[in-house]
Amino acid sequence: MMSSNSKGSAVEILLVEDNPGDARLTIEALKEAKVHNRLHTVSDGVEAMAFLRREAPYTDVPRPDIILLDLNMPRMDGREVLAELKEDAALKMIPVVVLTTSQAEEDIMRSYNLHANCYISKPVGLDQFLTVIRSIENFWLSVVRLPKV
Amino acid sequence: MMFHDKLRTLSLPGFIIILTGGFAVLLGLSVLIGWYSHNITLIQVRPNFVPMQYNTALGFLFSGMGIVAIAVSRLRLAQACGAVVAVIGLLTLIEYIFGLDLKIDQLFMQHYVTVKTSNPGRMAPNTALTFSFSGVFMLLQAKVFPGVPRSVVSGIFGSVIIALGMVPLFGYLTGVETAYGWGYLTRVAVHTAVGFIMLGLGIIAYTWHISRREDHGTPRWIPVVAGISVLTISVLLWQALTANDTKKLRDNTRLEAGGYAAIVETAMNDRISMLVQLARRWQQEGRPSRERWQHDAEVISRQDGYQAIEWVDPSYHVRWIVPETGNEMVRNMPSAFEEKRHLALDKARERRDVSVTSAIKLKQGGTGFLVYVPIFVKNQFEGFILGVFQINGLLEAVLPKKVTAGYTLELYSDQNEIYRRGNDPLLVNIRGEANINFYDTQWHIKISPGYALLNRQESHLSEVILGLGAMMALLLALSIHFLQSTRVHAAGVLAANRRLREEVVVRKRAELNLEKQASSLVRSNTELEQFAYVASHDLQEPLRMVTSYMQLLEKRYKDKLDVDASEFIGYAVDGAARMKLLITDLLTYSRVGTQVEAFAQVDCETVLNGALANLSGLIEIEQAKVTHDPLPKVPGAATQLLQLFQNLVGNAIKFRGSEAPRVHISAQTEAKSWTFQVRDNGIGIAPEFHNRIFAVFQRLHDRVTYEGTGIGLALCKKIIERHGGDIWLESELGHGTVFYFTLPNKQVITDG
Repeated sequence: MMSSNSKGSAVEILLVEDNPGDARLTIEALKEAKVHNRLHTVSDGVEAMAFLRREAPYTDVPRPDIILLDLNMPRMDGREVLAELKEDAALKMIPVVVLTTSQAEEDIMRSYNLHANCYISKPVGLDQFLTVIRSIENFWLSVVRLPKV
Repeated sequence: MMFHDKLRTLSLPGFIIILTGGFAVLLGLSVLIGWYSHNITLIQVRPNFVPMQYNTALGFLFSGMGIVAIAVSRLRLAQACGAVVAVIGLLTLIEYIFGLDLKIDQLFMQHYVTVKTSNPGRMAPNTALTFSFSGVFMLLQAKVFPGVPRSVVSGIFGSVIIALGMVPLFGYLTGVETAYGWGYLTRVAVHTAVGFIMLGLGIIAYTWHISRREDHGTPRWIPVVAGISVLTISVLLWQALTANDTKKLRDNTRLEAGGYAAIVETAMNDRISMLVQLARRWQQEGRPSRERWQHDAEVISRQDGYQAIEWVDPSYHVRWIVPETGNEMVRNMPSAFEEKRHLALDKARERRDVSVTSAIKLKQGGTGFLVYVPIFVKNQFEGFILGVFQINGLLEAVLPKKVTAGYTLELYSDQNEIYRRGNDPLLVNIRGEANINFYDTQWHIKISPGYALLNRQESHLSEVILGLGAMMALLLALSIHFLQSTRVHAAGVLAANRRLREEVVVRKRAELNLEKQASSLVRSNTELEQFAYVASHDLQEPLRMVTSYMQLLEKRYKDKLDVDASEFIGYAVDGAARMKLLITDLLTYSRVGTQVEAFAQVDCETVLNGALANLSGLIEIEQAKVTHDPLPKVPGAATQLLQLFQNLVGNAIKFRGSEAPRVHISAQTEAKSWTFQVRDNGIGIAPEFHNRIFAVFQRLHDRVTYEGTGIGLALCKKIIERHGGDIWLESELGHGTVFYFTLPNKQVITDG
């Protein structure tokens, strides 16, 4: 039951995260991933939408296979990204993992209402964080079959 | 000093009190001076008037002082003056009523003027009565009847005193003496009457004064004074009319009496002149024959009233007699057999003129009188012509009953009643008297209308006026009273309306304020909760950075770090973890307000079971025994109630004593709410901390013994408050704790 992603070309991951520390931690965690992946990092919603629509300066980027989305960001936050993304016929099939510090019920509810594919609270400890990222990798990059576009 | 202060701030009624009181003082003083200086004008006003007695003057002096004392609030002085006046008045009344002489009438002054005075120096009974009233009034200052407004009592006193002054003054002005004198007793002096009117006015002014202060805009005394005034006016009118009637009757009766006297007089003169005529013919023509004389005499004696006509010879013996029948017994009898007859005979003979006896008993029976006409022929005495009259017959004839119809009539001769007609007694005040003179005799006639006639003649106008006046007085007093009551009522309704309107305005304003406050409170609450949420959320990220990178450091560079470095990293990570816990709790706490979970009927048993499931680990570790009674359904937010039960039960287990923890949850229904109990056998809480434990992050113990951030009870309190309930506890250190909280059994809106 290996995903097609595990063998052939690398999985393209878009990380939308305004905090460089968190971004780095995610990068570090995914370095140890079994699945071959390429991580692209943008720091807010505006950049994320530009990346997804391949607008300058992202004219040459690949279409991500999965999006790791932080909620609280400057300029355009994760909720707005979700809303716009899920309205866009071309983009709404890309699975979105909300990865955020917030444990608020409202955020969880709102995210699922906006058709987020899953919602994960970032744990405080490094080990827990690594475990979470590993889980994402296991589930979303190995177990799940993603649409081929 | 005080007196002058009071005077300067004097109101109009106060001014009138001073004025009238001052008048009374001056009146009393001037009459006292009059008595000492023998000034008749000061004492009597006019010489034929009754004097103002010395004691009356004293009464005025003290009454006036008392009234002025009241006006300037010297109440003790007023009472003292009142006592003196009351003693003077009451003692005099006692003298009159019991017929005593208490030796007070001339105690200070030997009274040298006693016109119309029954007891020298003693004031009139109505004066004494008036002084009794005014003295008692000043003594009690209208505090007589509990429950009756002082102004009413004062008004009654004032108007009665004015009335007692008005009646005599009116008597003086109209000449009706009964108005100022009772019976034969001492009259009221004219200036006494004026003084009383002034005193009464002073008391009325005082009434006005206290009414302004005490009657709250409704002068209750006015109907009383109006009623008594109208009554007084009616009494005065009644007296005037009665007096007028009486005067008319008296004048009439006097005229009648004069007329009757004239009739009787004329008749007597006629009769006697005929006897004189008979004697004169005898003198001119000499002694007639017996037949001739008898013929002439008989013609005369046919007139009414004659008993007989006789010739008495010079030896005073009856010789001839006409008519013979009925007079047989006197023939040849000596005529002067008794004193009166003899005197008359002698008198007539000596004076050679007609002589009339006073009333005598006739020999023939009945009361009569004799008329002797002496006969001298050429100076030779030849005896008398004697007319014998029956009084009854005479008067009945000359004064026919139909002329005097209705009148009682008495006829006197030498103070002796000689004739009487009518059964009713003579009246004292309506009586006509006249003298009847003929020849050397005088009779006196007294007449009065009989009761039947009186009743026919008297007009009842005066009584009608008195009755109508009394009725008018009552009606006036009642209508003013009801008018006032209506006005008070209407004013009350108006005032109530005004109060209601004001209350509505105030309430509206309060509501508006409350709304404003509520909305600003909601705003500030929301802002605060937003702040707490954002702050705790944003705090988590740096915290995670610290923790994660510390741990990454430790992981990657384990070999290069010494033991100290690892320990330091450990502390940093632990601190960050604790901070994370605090922030999470704070977040939970702030979220109680911001969460939008709708209220629904929540089964507390289900909620409790959920909480116990969450606590199952702790329960197992601590070997705790948690029991509960049946719990109700209440309106509320299920997650918050779960948090509530979880915190309370968790605390109950966590803060355990040496025994295995036992927790019992129960609920009791009350009128509007349920009261829950969470009872444990734990370490208990000292009373001084009972309030503090509900504050945020308040801990009573160190972290090693009992872990936790100290937000649990603060959270409970916030949840309970949001549900419209209360939370408190009963506990003693070492004896367990009972937490109570209430939850309304109907939903209460608490969040704006």
